Amino acid sequence: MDFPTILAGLGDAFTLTNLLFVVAGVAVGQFVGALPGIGPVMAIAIAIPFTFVLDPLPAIAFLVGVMKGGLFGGAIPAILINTPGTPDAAATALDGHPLARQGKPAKATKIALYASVTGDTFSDLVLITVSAPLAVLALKLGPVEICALIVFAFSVMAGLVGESMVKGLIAAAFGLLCATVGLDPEHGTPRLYFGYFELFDGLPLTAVAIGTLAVAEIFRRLAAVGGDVRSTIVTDRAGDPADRRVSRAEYWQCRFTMLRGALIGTVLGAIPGIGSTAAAFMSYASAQQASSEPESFGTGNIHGVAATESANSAVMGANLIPLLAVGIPGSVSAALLISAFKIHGIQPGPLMFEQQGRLVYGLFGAMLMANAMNLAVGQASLRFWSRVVAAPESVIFAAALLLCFAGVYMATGGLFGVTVMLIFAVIGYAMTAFGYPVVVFVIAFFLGEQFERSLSQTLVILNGEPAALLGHPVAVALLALSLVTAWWLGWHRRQTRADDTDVG
Amino acid sequence: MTANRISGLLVALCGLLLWLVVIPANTETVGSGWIRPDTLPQACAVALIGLGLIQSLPRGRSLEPTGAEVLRAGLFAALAFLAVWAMTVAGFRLAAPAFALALMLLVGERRPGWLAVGAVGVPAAIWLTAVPLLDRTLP
Repeated sequence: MDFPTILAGLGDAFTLTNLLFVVAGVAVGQFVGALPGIGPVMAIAIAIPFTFVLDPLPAIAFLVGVMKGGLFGGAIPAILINTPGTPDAAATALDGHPLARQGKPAKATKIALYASVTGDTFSDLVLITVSAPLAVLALKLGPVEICALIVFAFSVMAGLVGESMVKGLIAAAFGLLCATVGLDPEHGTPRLYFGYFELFDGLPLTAVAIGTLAVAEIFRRLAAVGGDVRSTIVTDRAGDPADRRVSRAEYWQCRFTMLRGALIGTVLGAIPGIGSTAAAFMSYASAQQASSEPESFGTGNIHGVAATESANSAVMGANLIPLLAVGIPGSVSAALLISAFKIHGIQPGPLMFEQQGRLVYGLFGAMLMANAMNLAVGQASLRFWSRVVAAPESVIFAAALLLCFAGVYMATGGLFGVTVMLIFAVIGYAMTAFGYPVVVFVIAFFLGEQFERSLSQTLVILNGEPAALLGHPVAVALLALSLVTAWWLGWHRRQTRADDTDVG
Repeated sequence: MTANRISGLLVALCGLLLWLVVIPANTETVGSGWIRPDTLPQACAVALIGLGLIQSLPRGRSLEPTGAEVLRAGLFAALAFLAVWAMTVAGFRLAAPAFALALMLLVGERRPGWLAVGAVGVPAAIWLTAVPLLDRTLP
């Protein structure tokens, strides 16, 4: 990558138009994150169709803003009403809510904001530093290695996400099966289209993603809503001013906690499938272990909030490392970004640095800008978001459903796409109800076409000779690693289950 | 029998149906190439049969969805399908407010102000964003 391209890309990002889209994205993300039940994933899924009319960079900048804003926004209901907006914010509630109950809701939300921005910026810098060299390495991989890499990604995801490896593998197989709908990549013959010509191009990405991730979750939440009004802790201006702010000394005290959290989040975020919830809890546990007052954790220790927020926000930037370096999404939000890239005619992966280098560095510029705006918008709007938390779920979910209808209609150009969305919402609901990981299904669905194409090329290259695989040591190593990972994760799960049973 | 085992058997049954009936009837037979149109779908179906059977073996704890919640979720899904049909007949401007209102009432919302926001304000805001602002169409 030449230096002028990097500068041109960053120059593209730092424009007033992009700044406005980033601010809008961050504000939407924080708003939606503050609404319990609608996390950043759902917000991105709903927002994608509304970005069609934009140029690629403002569209991606807006979505990046939504994602980053949503990560912090999820902490607000966790702290104020002990109802995490996102699963990863559950760890934030452990110390954030006790702090709020002690009359320090503003301090708790502010340390969450600072830690979130610190962790996020750290992981973005790692992403910017390592993704280009990794992409250069990835370009040396042929179809055989890519195919093996996807198999490895499936084995890691199936093993790590959800309650059992078998269920993870079932979700992956089902995702791959759904990806085969439409014209097959080798012969161009239509398959599994059931007489619906709309399916010639395959199941619409946005309809499947919004159905399984957003609408299914809305149905689940609606079924659990009791119609009651939530009580919230208001961040008012009364009381000791020291309880309403985070001093420099307090921030500085938390530096190692945040750095540790950012490191944990970055490392886990770079591994496909692990996600921010595991990072948040792992960071919380390690902060408690390293603390001189471990007993104060869970009673309102700002280190607890700093640890979880820095870790779960650091996951976001790192999630894009496998996406940009090898074209494999590290999480559902990264998978959704793939669909946004594709809608704008961009193919994520190592070739992006070669063919769309300017756009990639524009994206990096937008991410850094979004971090600064996350801090600014968060500081300015904390009191407003604390009121949003109390909005009734009945209105929130009715609005979210209508947005899904309108978004998918615009994305697919008709109500056929909306019907597909609802069918996948029912499937997604059933999968979640029976413990099958929807995340694995969605990522397998996104990777299905690439997997089939690379598998087909692999078989041509190997000419049907399994022994020829030995000429591809990287692929052999990845396949061996897949087997070891599957065995180890399966064994580890059985051990955990046995321990749980013993305790029970 | 636990929900785990039932879902495993259902997965295996769906896999079998796909393998024997659905995939052969909906893919073209091609005589050449390493990967034929039905190769990957058939492989996935076989994987579903095998993994579903493994899942149906009796093992540890199981996630048990509660019947009442599943029924309520089914009711909301049915209402959403009904809304899609209503949109094909009456369009977004009429069907969306009715759908939002029905949904909120079903959830238990009775406050007139919030009902008005959900049934009038939200659909109007979506329509104004999509049609005049983004220059797109809605049903």
